[in-house]
Amino acid sequence: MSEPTTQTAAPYSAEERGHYKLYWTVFIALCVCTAISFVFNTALGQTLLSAALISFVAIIKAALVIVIFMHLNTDWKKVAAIMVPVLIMCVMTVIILSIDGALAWHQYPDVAP
Amino acid sequence: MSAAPHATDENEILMGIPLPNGKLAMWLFLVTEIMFFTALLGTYMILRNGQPNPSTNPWPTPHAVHLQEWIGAGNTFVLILSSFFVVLAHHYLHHGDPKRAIRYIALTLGLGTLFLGVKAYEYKGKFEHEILPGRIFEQLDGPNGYRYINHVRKQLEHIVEKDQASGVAKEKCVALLEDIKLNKLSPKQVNERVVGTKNVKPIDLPKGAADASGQLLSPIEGILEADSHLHLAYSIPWGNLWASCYFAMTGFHALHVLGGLVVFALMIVMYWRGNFGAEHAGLVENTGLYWHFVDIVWIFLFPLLYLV
Repeated sequence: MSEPTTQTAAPYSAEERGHYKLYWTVFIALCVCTAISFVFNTALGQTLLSAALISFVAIIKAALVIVIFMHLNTDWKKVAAIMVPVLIMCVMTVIILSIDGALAWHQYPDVAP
Repeated sequence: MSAAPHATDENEILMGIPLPNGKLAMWLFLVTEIMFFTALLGTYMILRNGQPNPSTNPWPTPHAVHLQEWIGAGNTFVLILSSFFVVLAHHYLHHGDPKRAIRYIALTLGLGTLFLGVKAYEYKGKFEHEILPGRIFEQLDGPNGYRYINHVRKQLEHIVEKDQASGVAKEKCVALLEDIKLNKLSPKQVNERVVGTKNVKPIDLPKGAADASGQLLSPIEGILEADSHLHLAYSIPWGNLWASCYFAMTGFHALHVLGGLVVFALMIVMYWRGNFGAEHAGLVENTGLYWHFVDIVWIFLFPLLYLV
């Protein structure tokens, strides 16, 4: 077994230190958002309002991970052509299917058992 | 004609997206995974919101199917922390510090394993309570109702034989078993005695249990209210559909987590063999992209299943 490669690390640049702080900030924000979701659920129960708020928080968390952790803040222009059609399709698929699969039922009155 | 020195062609057309091949390939793969999980999660959302009679026949609540929100929240924190560690690993490796980077990779591997361990614990609970697709009793009318009574009878006999209940719960178990043996109860009445009148969904209420306005008359305490740890089946409307969705979504997610863990383990082997350095920053970044995607899927799965 050979010794692991050791490389002398150069001092960190200001940009690298900035990235490091940003990663910590995003991590703490993600933890806070998770706690907020939990609090909304505990305080509001299973209501439409809590569902909307929790979904909004989930989208914020996903956006933070995508933009910062996945480096889309620098790579967006390079992958937009791949991502945009898929994202449109994802959202529209659920909306279009929801019309007949879910929303239409709300037009019918509840049937007594 | 003399050969002129080659000059840079400023009008040279650059083909392809300006990304390393590996990164582009990973993004293309992630795009297909987005579609895959959109199908799963989108189907769940449509089924969840598409019940025709939500006031009488509602979708199962998390507690009805033995989901505990704090376990889901804990798992969410575990995955977020592992995502953060992957980012730090890439950060240090890019800077030329593979020793520190591999430590964070190892921590990520540990956290991913913890996530799967918690998931296995939850699955064990589901198996023990028979909250599995096709095994949940719903629609207590008809022959299915009498299969339910037989099943509860066997469970009660097991509880009484093994002396698994005590106090009030034991008395109720013995009383219910006697009544079942004497054929005194309908399936809905058995269900009511198991969970308690106030926990029975309107569609499963026995005749005479509520008045015309829905007010409960003479509610009774259920066995599971006295001891929630006893393994007794009860009606969960839409339970089989819920279980199918739950195992499909979390099962595929867990398989994706496992795939990521395999790659992290390979990185650790590479480091152990002395073949892991700054030149592998691309590998770590691409694996990190995959891991962040797995994290994002859970960010949406957790509220969908545990909270909403």
